[in-house]
Amino acid sequence: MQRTLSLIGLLVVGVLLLFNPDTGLVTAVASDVAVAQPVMAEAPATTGEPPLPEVPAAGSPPSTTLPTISGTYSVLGASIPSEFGLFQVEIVIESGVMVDVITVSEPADRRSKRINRDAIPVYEESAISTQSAEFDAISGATVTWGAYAASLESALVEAGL
Amino acid sequence: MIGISPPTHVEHVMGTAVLFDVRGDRSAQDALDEAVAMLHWVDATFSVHRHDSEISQISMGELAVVDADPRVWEVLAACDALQRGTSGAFDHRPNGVLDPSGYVKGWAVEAAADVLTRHGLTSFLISAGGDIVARGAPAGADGWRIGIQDPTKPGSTVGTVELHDNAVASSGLYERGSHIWGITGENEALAGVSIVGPDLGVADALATAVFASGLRHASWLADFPDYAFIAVTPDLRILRSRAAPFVGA
Repeated sequence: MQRTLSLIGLLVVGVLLLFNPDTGLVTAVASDVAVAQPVMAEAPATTGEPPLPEVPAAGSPPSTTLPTISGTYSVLGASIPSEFGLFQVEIVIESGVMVDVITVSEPADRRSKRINRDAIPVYEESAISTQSAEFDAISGATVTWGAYAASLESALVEAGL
Repeated sequence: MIGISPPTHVEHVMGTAVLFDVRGDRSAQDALDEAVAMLHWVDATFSVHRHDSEISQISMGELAVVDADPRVWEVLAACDALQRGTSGAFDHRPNGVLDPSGYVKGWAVEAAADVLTRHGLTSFLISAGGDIVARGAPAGADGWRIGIQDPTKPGSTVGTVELHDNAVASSGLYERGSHIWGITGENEALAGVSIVGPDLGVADALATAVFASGLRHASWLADFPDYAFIAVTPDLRILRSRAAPFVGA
């Protein structure tokens, strides 16, 4: 399980670096190798490639500029209401690459749980393998997937991936 | 209210979650406020679940169509045209009860898109429960990439359509609280249908109608040359019109 491996790989000290009022919490965790390589989270949107070290451009909106973070950190996506409850994911980024997607909250009703048990691993695998939400939107999606993708997309945008 | 901030705003209205993706345009708040207020007006006016809506009042004979809001007349006229145009496969009076929901949602999302356009937004997407209007394109792309859900497997897609100033609506087995009716065993069964075209209200009505009647009985679709279809069978064969901007998975 990729999630388990990457979680074990992290020495979670849970340093709360920044609370961003727009889309959620950004927490940083120290990686086992804390290389002092600054990562700018508001880097131009590229897929899969680690952002180059650079300082925030002058005039970039302060509310979207994350502090330079080395090693591994996580970004919490927006909490998206679906018909049956809230959906929220958290992404883990290691050297500018998304290595894990964690479903933080999901609708708890019985039918959603039954659907999500099969579906969420598919979402997570797809998100990690493509390093993106892959689609801008899904037509005909279950409400769950739509909410999952929206939360994931907000986290990716926030992380500058 | 949660999820207000750009890049996405999600509003629960018209019995579904409406997602606005304005790609981080932070000047969009006024536009979003106006569009959301308009959607709530549509809900209050057209809901069949509210006894005080104009649609309910018309249904109960308490309000004449000519005395209703002009937009009610506009919607009902469009529904009448779609009912004729689909040989009755789209039916906004199922069992004799007035219910234009199968058209209203898409019509309302088009109106919301017009609000954002009027406020100067040029690149955005609005998805109402998976029925989508897209204007412009995301930065650096030719269009918006829309996955077409595999009707038989949540979390998977059968392919992609690219939208640019048009819309896509899907009907299928996965719908909850759908307005699908009239499905009979004699029709060629489809697991899902997506319609791509210039207007989401029409696309939604046509998707509903094709799904209900089966492709074999949807020859009237040829009367809608601006609308392309992508149909998915239960064994995941794709049947589509040549014009459909579709790329298989």
